Amino acid sequence: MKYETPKIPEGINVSKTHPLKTFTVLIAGMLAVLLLSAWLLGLGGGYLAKKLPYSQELRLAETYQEVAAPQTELLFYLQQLADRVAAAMELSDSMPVTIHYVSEPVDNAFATIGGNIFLYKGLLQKLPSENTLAMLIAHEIAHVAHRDPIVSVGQNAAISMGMMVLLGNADSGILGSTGLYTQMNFSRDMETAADVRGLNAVQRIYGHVGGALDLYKILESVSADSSVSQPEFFSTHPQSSTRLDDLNNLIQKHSWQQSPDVKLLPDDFSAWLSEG
Amino acid sequence: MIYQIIWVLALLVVGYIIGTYLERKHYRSILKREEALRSLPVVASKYLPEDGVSYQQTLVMGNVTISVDYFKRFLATLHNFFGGRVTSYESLLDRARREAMLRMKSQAASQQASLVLNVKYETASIYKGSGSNIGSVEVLAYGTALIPKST
Amino acid sequence: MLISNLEIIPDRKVVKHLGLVQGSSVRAKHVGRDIMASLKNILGGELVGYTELLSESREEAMDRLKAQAESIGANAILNVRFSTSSVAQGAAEIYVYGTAVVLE
Repeated sequence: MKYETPKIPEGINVSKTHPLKTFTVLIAGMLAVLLLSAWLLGLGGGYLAKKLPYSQELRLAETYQEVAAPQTELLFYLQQLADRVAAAMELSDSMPVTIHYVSEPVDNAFATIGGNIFLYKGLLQKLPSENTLAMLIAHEIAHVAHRDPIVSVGQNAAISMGMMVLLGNADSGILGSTGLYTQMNFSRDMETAADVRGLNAVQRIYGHVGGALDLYKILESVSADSSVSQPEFFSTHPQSSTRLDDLNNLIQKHSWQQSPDVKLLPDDFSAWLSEG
Repeated sequence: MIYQIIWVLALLVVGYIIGTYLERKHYRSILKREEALRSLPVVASKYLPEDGVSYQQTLVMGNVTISVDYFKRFLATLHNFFGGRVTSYESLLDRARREAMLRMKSQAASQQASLVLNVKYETASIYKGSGSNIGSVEVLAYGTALIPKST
Repeated sequence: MLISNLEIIPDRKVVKHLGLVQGSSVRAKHVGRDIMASLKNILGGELVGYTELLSESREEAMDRLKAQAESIGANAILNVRFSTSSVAQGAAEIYVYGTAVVLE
């Protein structure tokens, strides 16, 4: 018997694909899968959340009732205005709107679940007239009427549930441990719809839309002050100038009046703001 | 969170650069030693050559533990998600098997063996019990070395 | 003591089969080796400490195999096989077994 030892060529048991290429392909695939599942989960969560009866949403939002501040003149005034806006919007009686005032120099206002609307001192101080304030409240009530907050909560819950399943840690409750849902991610479509409905309500209350668009000028100046203006694609709020254009078109279409005859805020308004 | 991501990225880069360098170096050395020891035949047969020579026999073995670098382990985790061929582990096992074989052969050669019979491989994953950390293997190659009796 | 992984030994006849003999050794790596190994786990490459650990462990298993065979009066162990298994995290069992025989 003869024993020979021929040389076996290299690379039969080992693939020649460059590891960095494999890496890129796999990472891209992974990201695509993650983004797609997050999008689908968000869509599903939002859809399901909208099916939740409003009474359940109110129960979820019970925490806000506890932190409610004592009735002040300011809150009384704001609540009264909100009720007028809600009536003008023909909001169902089963959807009560509650106004909260936050005495912080922040230019912000938001609506959250259970018809709770938070207005910040910083933004209120900049408002020139009651019509502008009505527009702000009407915009937020329109979110409540469209049930945008619960949709946002549902989307976030579905996505965080997906993350939990993927990462396998249960350290964050599905609905968040604090129960305060202040991080609302409304889509641009939601914002536009709320703008349109809000403007309709203002027209119905005052008979004209004068002063309403001042709100967007203020928002524009606020975003110009605060930071570099983001491209529209990256921000959930459409840029104020785009919103302004859309609303101007709407006003022209319905031939609404922009009367300069706006209703002034109560004399003591700024005093109330610093008090509360 | 952001520090964790930076840490992982740094490990990936360091793992990739140094891991690739070490692997190339190892392959160069494997090829060189394989060439030097190629004249010693190694077979999986159990039967002795019927050439009339009388042999003395002894058990020879060589073992090695090799670890895969962080980058390739990360790649394998990704492969785990999608399934399919885990290309990043192929070279790890290939290197380990060939290194173990070379060590066995050099042990046999140092005893002036002319043939190694009935060669067997034994592979064990070192981190088997610890879930995601699989990535080190030990390979043992053993066989019976035949040493011609100097009569 | 002749240890071989062949089944037959040329020129020598098996007089008596004495059954299976075995040697085993379970070893765990120690912390110092662990630290080096975790570094190597990032960079890749040979874990020299583990290679040594496992060959020491294998030697011990072979010594035990021989001790068993000697105690029953065998002078050779044929058809020897090695087997390795991870019992727990960081601990490996080396197992070696073969047929104890008495050669002529």
